[in-house]
Amino acid sequence: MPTIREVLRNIRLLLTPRAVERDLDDELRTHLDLQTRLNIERGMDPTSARDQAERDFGPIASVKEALRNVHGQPSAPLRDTLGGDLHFAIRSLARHRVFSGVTIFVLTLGIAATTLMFSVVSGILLKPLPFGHPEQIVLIWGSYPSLNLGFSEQPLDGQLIETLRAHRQQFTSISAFVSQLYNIGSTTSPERLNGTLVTSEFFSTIGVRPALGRAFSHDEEAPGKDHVVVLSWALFQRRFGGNPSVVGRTISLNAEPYTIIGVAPKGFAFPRGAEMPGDFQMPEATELWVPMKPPTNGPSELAGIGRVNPGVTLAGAQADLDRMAKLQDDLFPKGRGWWGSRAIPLRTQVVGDVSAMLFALFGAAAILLMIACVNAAQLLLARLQSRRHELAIRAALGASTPRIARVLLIEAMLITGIAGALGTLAGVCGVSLVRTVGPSRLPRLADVTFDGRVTAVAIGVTMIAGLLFGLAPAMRASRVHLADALRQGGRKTGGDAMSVKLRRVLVSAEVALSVMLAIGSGLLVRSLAHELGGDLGFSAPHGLTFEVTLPALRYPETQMATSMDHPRSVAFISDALERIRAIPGVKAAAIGKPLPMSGAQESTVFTPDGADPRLSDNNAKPIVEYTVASHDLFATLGTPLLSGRDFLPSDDNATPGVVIVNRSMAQWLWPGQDPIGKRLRLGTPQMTVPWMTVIGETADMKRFSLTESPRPEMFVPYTQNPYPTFSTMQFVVRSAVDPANLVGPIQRAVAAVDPDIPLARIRTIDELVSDASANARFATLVMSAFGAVALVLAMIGLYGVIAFSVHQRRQEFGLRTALGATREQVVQMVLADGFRLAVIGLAVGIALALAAGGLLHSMLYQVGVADPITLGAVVLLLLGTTALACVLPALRASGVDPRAALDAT
Amino acid sequence: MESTTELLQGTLDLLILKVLSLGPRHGWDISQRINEISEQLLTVNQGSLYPALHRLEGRGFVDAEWTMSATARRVRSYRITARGRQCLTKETQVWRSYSRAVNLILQTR
Repeated sequence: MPTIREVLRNIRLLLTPRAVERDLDDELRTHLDLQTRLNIERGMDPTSARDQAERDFGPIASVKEALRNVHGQPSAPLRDTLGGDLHFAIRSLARHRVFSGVTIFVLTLGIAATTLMFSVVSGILLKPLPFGHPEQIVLIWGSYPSLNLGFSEQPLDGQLIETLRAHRQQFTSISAFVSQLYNIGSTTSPERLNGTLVTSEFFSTIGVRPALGRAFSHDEEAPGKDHVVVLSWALFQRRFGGNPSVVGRTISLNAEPYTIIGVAPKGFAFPRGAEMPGDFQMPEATELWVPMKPPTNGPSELAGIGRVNPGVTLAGAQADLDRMAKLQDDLFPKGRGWWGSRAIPLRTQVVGDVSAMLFALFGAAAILLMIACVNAAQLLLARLQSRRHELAIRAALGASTPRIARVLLIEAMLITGIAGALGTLAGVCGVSLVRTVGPSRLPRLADVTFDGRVTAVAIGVTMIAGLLFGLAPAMRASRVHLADALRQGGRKTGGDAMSVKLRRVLVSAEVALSVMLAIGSGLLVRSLAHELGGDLGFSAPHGLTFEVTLPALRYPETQMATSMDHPRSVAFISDALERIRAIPGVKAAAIGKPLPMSGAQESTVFTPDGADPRLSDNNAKPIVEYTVASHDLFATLGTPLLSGRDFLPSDDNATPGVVIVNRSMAQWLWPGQDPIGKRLRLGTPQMTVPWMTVIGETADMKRFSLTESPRPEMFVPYTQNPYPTFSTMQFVVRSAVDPANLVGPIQRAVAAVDPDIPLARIRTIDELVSDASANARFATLVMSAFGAVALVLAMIGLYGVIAFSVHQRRQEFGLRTALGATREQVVQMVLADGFRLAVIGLAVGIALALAAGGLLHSMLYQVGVADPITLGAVVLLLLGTTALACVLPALRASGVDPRAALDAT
Repeated sequence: MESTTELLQGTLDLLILKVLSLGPRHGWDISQRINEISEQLLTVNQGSLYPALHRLEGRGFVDAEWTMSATARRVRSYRITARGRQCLTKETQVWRSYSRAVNLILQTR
């Protein structure tokens, strides 16, 4: 049994013969030196002492020769053999271009896929977030445990934020932020910017210092002093040309003067939409920050962020929040039970639910690499079989076994080296491709780069791949027996029984791995089909959506308990809608705040008329989705109105309040009854605001994702002073023509109402829907590509083995034909052989896929891990491709001329 | 330095292991020790010593590493391993019974 030490020594010997040689020289020279010294001590003069020592020692060359024999190395001069072997390997690869090309191609695919997926995983999941001590940062969301509405993150109350900021014990600081859109500039070039209102400690909480200027001071939260702004680096470059002198300058935001006090460092754009819960209307990337004092009257969309004291755990942070919830209960008994909040680590929040997807894809890439390695080992083994004759002769001419193994290893390393370089190159291209066309809802996409760590992994992967698929053949080669090989070599049959068996095992393994990937991609395709084929509750093939931001200065609003007075905004909207509807080609136009799939969500607490036993329990807080709508919203979106009537322009402040509910809400509140005519009002039972009457029932609409289950939702007309603010309003236009042609006319129509209001986020409904499924489509696309490549590789392997086996059994087939076997029988024999290998792989692959199914579980929508349709399809696909891979060799076998076969014997 | 007795191959291995069992040594040192202990009766042929050492190393009976000698010279120092000690014990017994057998035969009148 060789010890590890011996193995290591032998590897060193294989790879660095020259260093070993140097060691020998050193050792022998030391011996001579010591002997010479002894001789001098005994009274000899230095020269004769040396001579005597050398005489005693005997001829050095023969000693070294003896040593080399101990190490099993050839007696030829060791110098330059590595170079010689390299030269030999290059020549040999160049001579077998097809073999080299196919092997390199196969490995390149595997290495490229692995490095690409590792780049993505590394950028999104592994790289530290670019904030100071990111592990100390948590997001803080409102939490009402008794409420189970399917979404976990709720906005924080402004009053609660003030308590958290004042009474925190385990936190260094706590800050609140909320999205706010701004129109910048003048009538000549208005542009809408994504801003975030933050409390003054925002930058210190997140651990980021402005690159220029300063962050906010506490007194800048006060109204009157809060007209200061920190720009993002991107905005600073784009709009201000990167000129540092803008710090101190005054700009116009929403028609009010703001002083630029700082510029955030490059790349900082927190909060980014893809990294925050989708229910919150966070911008894709924040372009400017403005200080605020948290609003303490009425509902808000505040999110919290906190930095815990060093050493405080998540549980510690949560305990502190729970303590302050009780404190708040005492301070504001009216809201007892509504002051809970929940801390979520920043990383968890940012990476969210994509980590499962990314790890699954990374796993798929790793499997693909394994298949590529197995395939390469296959090809090398096959080549080894045809080279046994050559190797035997080399052995006979004095090349020792390690030497031959070394040549084979060098060949393998050479192939992987080239494949590694090509694969890495392809990986780099892939990374930039993913960055440009990657799904917009993938967080931290900007952090996906081809960094040094990825390169290191790529090289490591390449080396391991090379050793993995180079070692097996090398070890086989070391057992080539000269006599056997020469005897067989003459007959060119090649292939000892062991190698053949090994190749068959490898092929079955390849099939099994590719079946795993095929099942994975099949499941994702089925899941995606369910997502896209599901009923969205709306359908607007030519729908166009856009947003406008109405600055508070010119469109003032007054907040009341559960309503908001915004006369100027209402006038703007009705005027704009009227002008848009007049544009030729426009069939219908409406507003909806928020529109489905726009990434925003609004919800409200309400109180139904009449005692509902299910709602009397203090814990059951009735919360539903809440949408402000105009006349024709349902017609524009193509959402069926199931009963009752639509809002009318005549539903205004002079007429009684009206509300439309969706089917889920109607069935939840009034099961088996007609909802029309029922009454409800906003707010808690303690608040006595006017009742609203249900006038219509609509179909359920998917609001945020294609995979959500329907939630109760209510709609209120924009003309009856609904909260919240109208500062951002979403329009939807349905047209008979290509919506792209409508953008210009709509822009002119809106400008006719107010020339300072730019259109923003112009998207078609189709784009919104496709964005919502972007991650799923990305995963499906990648997984399917991997699966297809894997299947092709496995089939190449299968073809190789069967073709070789047919070649080897030529005489047998000839003999059988001569003895009366029909062509069909021969074909059948070969096919059976191939199918045996495929079916073994298939069974193992299905078992593995079922075992690993948990990885995919969270990504599947309405499809089980053991989906019979997917499994059936994969089985059929595999059997079909197996037949394809085996049919050529089978036909060749059946065509063997008996005479030729017998002649060859 | 009289060259007196040619060593049998297996015997050299045994002597090396025995010398190393007294403590780590480098090659030259080993040959000196064998020479001294045998009262100059045995002289080790260097051409056999180093191959033998490397062979023992290859079989895991001795370890080798580059160290500094007492005279501040970089030397390759050998040390007996646990496996080497086992082998030494076994081979010593084999040798004893062998030499006893040979002696008995030679003493036969």
